[in-house]
Amino acid sequence: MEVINSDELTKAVQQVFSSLLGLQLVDGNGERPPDFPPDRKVSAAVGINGDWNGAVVFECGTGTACHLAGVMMGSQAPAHVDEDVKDVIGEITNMVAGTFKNCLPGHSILTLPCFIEGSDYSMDIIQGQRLISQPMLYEGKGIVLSVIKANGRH
Amino acid sequence: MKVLTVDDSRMIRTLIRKYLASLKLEILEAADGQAGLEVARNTKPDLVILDINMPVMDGTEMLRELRKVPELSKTKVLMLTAESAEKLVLEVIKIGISDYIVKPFEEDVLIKKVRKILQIDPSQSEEGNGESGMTKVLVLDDNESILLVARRFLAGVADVLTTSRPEKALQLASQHSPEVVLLDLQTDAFKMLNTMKKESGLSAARFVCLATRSAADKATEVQEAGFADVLYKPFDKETLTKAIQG
Repeated sequence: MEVINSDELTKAVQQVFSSLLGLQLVDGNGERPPDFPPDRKVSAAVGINGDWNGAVVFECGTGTACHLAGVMMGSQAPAHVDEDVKDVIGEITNMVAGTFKNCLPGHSILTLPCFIEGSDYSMDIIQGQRLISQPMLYEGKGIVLSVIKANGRH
Repeated sequence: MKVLTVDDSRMIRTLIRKYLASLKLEILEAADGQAGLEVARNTKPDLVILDINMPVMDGTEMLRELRKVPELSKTKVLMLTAESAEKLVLEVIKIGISDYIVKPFEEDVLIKKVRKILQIDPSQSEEGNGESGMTKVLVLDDNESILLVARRFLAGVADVLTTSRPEKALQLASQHSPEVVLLDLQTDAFKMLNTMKKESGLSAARFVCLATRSAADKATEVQEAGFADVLYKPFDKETLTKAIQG
């Protein structure tokens, strides 16, 4: 099994939250975040293709996603997941993936972010392997960041 | 001067517009390379701030196309990217860019680079020099994130000066005579308030104390010391604006 240092992913997302949102993100110590309802969540993924193939996936509850969009736009949190929320979560994932990619060997490129909202689903890569699944917290709100590697590829 | 921002994220376009508000530039926007090329052809911008990873036409291709248009072949381009991969950066530098920024980027970094590329003299812009006609606000806090958020929330609303160092705050207070001063309770705020009132000529300024919720029991003490208001961290844009306006 390939070993990827989860510290790099942690640092990447903490840097994005601090610089972009002014929020301090801390390690969730492996526990499921308290406001991460399994039946109502959003996920965003950015693929990494090239010498290394896989994806960075960002997941959180819809309430947290709306809160992050409000902080980012400097306004009240949207009442529901709208285009601004998708844009903000997609861009956060894009920046985390970009920062994380710099720790990978060789040359790879990022795909455009994709966004999923709904209930009772899971996001994966076909024949992929989840290398990291890292719960993190800010102001008591939870997110989960994952790295999935496409098997059979470098 | 005209600046064209080409990025598929509305959030990033909005952020750039906010960050550059103090430079009083005309900001144009496009959501992909193809649309960006069209706007550039029609408006002849002085600078294009260009994302790399976009749908329809990406930034690298737009840059190549831009260089084929005679009147746009020398347009200055600031590349914006989520990845700092050396190979990619070298590729776009070859096509011809003035500089690049890796996301996430700080407001100061963007302003500095835009000023440098467009050769804007800092004394000619409104950011922090008190010439904008907006309320001048000085913020002292040892947490850089708080300073960043304050600058972002007040962009286009107030003329904001920020520092994490008390001695620098005193210097800025004397030089710029801000109408509103936000002092972090942790930075010896009571002493700073007295010094600014007596030695920096800010006797008429509105002083607001920045504090954490855990310091709520000190609210009376803070008001007795001469603060007009207490602003608890973290704060949102609306609360901050209200605290500034009084």
